[in-house]
Amino acid sequence: MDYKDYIKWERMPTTWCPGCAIGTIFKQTAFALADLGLPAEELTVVSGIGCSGRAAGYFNVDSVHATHGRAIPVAEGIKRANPRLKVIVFSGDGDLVGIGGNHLLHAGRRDIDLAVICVNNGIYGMTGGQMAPTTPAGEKTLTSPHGSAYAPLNIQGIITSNRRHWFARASTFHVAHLQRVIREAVERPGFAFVEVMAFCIENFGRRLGFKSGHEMLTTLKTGYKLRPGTEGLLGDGELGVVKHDS
Amino acid sequence: MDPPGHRGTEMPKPSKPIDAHIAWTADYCKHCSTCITICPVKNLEFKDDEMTSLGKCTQCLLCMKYCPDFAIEVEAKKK
Repeated sequence: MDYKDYIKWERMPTTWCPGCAIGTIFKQTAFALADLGLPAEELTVVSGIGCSGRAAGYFNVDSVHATHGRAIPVAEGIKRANPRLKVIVFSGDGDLVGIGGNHLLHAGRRDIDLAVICVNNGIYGMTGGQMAPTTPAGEKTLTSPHGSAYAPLNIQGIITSNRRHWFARASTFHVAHLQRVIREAVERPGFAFVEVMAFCIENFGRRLGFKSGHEMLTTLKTGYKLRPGTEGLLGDGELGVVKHDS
Repeated sequence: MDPPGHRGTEMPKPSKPIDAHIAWTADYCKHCSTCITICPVKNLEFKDDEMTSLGKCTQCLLCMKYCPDFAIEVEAKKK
């Protein structure tokens, strides 16, 4: 199948800002699905609220745009009602980790067969760039003008605290790796979480002095390195996969 | 209502060939310049809001992979 079969072309262009990272992640997800050759009838995309939540409406498959933070429970219900379906959750950090943090804890604990793609831009982008649980310490946002006073939430720690786990960290710059981990996440029987390091240019980058989306993209290039293998936890600035299957 | 089994989509809007390998869709382009800056051979350029190719394309497909808006399509190299 071609990636073009997975996109609702009458909805294009997307509502995302020029140079937004979500577009690239959305495209790489479509590439990964086309690579797997999954028929649209066996696929469901669920997303929560936020800029990345829009993605559910752009995939040419059955999709649900759930309420804020409740993407994982809705996806879990779909999976339990019809286990034949491959269910993908495509949402942002504010939705999955901030508002829906509790659901993430328990979905990980129960090891539900879901592929979760979390667009981590470090803020609540759609509402204007407020501080989120994933905002890096010291980063200036709309609601933390003197820099965030708290350490960001450790998503890797939440997922890998379960005995059986699959966690991947990717970035919007490293597209080949991103596509590969999305493919692996969809294929894995069990809870697979992909944290994609992204950026928000309009509501975060501009406040920090970035001129364009590409400038923020290059910070991902210099800030993250790929780690080969799946042994041990990922350090700061490392991309890769952490898994335990028994 | 769409009949059952109907995929319910149109095809992408017609794109404009700007090179032997590259096609650009003006309706989708948001002029974010990601493709221009990501291109390793500096092949792409805006001329009066129109994308132009300088004919140096090596078909590495980077612009197509990074474009967030499906505005640029590059034909893959034939093996």
